[in-house]
Parts: sequence; structure tokens; C-alpha cells
Amino acid sequence: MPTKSGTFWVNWADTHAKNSNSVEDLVEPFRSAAKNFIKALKDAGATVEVSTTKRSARRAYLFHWSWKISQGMCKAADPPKLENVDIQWDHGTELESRKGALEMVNGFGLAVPPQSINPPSLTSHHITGKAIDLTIKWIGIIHVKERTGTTVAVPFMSNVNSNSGLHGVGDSYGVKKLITDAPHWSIDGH
Amino acid sequence: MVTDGAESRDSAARKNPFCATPLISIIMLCATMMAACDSRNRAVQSKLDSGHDFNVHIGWLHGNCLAIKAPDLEGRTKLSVVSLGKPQVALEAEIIQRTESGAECHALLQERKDVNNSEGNVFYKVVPASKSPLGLAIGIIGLKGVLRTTDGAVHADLNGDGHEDYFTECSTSEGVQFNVWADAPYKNKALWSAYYYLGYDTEPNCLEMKK
Repeated sequence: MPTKSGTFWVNWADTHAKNSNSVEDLVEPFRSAAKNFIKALKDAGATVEVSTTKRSARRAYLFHWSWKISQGMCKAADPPKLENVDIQWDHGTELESRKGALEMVNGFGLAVPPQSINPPSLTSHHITGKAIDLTIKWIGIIHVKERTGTTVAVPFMSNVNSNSGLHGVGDSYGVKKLITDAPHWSIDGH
Repeated sequence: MVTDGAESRDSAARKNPFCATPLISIIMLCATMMAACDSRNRAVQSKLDSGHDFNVHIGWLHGNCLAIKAPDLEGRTKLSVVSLGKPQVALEAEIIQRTESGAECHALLQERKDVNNSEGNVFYKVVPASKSPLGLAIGIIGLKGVLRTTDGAVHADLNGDGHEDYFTECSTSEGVQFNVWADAPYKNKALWSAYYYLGYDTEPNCLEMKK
């Protein structure tokens, strides 16, 4: 028996549709690339915190459709079924369906940027296990070994998006920086 | 009557000097644009050199929670808020207290807190003066001037140097980019920027910004 959209699904997702911060949940060859990059950074004296690796497709499904229904961007009958997520989006009236979806948007803390017409994505490199979010810190300059064995000096920059030296090291391992989002690295920089 | 080219050009020039001398008009246009651009660059540099620390006066909000690089704000401190909807709206709010709770602050939810804390922010629970929701917003502590609205855009002279400053937000792949600009958005380097990590994937819509 399906359960109507609403706060229940926020709690459900925190138990049954959690994201991972384990490097082991990434897929090969990106998993080995990320491990080697992190090891090189740690060996050089940097601290590396992993925020997210593989994101849950079920969680993304709940984010995406609750956002769209709550903003009136689709009908409650529109979302396709997803296996093992027995949610009833349609409460019978549009008002009640939007109310249930909005409870989820608020419960998940989803942002509704006024300039954006785009809901949270259903697909991404995180969902396929090909991206990792990292916070990398050190003091001064570290000497990091690239995959080729060459050691390069990399100064710390508070804006990691500007640190091309660090991006180059990641690139040598097959871990590429997306320069709009501070923590984000992936198999192709997207 | 047969006229030579010079006569023809002179005649056209009397009617429209810009048509008759395209090269000169292009040069004049370029010079005007460069002068305007140079003026804006000077405005940005002047603001950055003014000694006004934008980081301790400006923060961002998601709902009733302010993230700012100012660790010692006291309760009841007044906050001027630019709610970044369409149109933008100028609001007032007040700081309640510092918080580290994801229940009070979306930016501190489990999936977000490590990255948002690492940006050097501290977080404050705030209360708006009116019932209007704050949404995604930029907050200003100790605003010297007043927030004005023109054509749906809120602006203010943040450091009292005679130049108006503008406020924007846009989506990146995993977050929200907030910016404050001198004179006009996206024309020069931002006066102040901040990144809010959402911890989920979104469609980016940020314009390319000048470095």
C-alpha cells in the first residue's frame, strides 16, 4: 500500500535512501583514481575530508519530484514509479498534492533558487559513482607526488577553484576538478 | 550632377555624422565603453581598498539562518536583507543567536555541514521583521545607506562611497553562488562572493563571471 507524500518520506529517506561518503562505493576506475589522489595528498601532509561519494538514486527521485510538484511544475500524476519507493504523489486534489510535496521540500531543506526553473537532478556523476566531494586543507606549500612520480609544489589557496596546481595533481590521477563547486571532483570535471 | 566621393560623404555627414565616418564612430564608441569600463573598475577597486571588510558585514541566508564570517554578532543585532526572488525584496530581520543545528539551519544539515563550515562561516538563527519568507537571500550587518529598489533589483551603497551595489544569486552544479557587485552585476569582479553547498545535484545557471 503506497504512502502519501509528506514528512514521512523525509524520515524514510534518511534511513533507506542515504548518500554515501565511502570511497569504496565509487565505481572503477574512478574508485582507484580517487583513492590514489587522496593518498598522495595525505602523504604530502594535507587533510582530506570526504563529504559525498555515491548519491542515492532514490533520494534524488524524491528530491526531484517533490520539488517539481511543490512548485507546480508538473502534475502529481506525472512521476514514474520507482522500484522500492512506494510513494503516492497524488493526494486527489492539486492543493493537497502540492502540500505533501512541499512538506518534503522543506524537510529535505531543498533550495528553491528564484532564477532557476530546474529541479534537483535525477542523474549525475555522483549517482553513478563517478564523482567525489572533498575538502582539502593544508598550511603553506605541500609537495605532492603526481601519478607519474613527479613531485610538484602546491601552495594552499582558500579558493580551491583557483588552485590550478592542485587541479593538475588531481588530473594526473584521473580526478578532475569542477571549478564552480569547491568540493566537487569527478571522472571528467562535470 | 556628378559629385565626387568627398562631397557625398560631407552631405551624409551633415545628415548623420556617425554614418559618414564609421571608423571614427567605432573608435568613439570603443573609447566611451572603455572609459565606462575603466570607471567601473575604479569603483570596484575603490570599494575594495576602502578598508570596509565586506566579509564581516555581508552573509547569505537560506530561510531563517544567516551564514557569515563574523563570529561575534550578538542577539538582537539588526540585519538588512535582500530576498533574491523575482522581484528582489528589501526586508529587515534580527539575529536571535548562533546555531550549529541542522534543524534550525538547512546549511547545517548532515550532508552539507562539513563543506559549509569549512568555508569559514558561522551560523545564526534570525527572525524576519515581517511575515515575508526570506528564502535565499543576502544579509547585511550595519548597512550605512538604505536599500532601494529599481526595476525589481534591490541596490545600496554598502560602504558609502557614492556607488550603488547590486545583489545576485545563481545555481552551480551542487550549490548556490551569491555575489555583490559594484555599479552593475556581472560587469566586473564581484565585491563579495559566497558559495552555499547544497549536497545534491542541480542544473547550473550561473553566467560566466569575470575573474
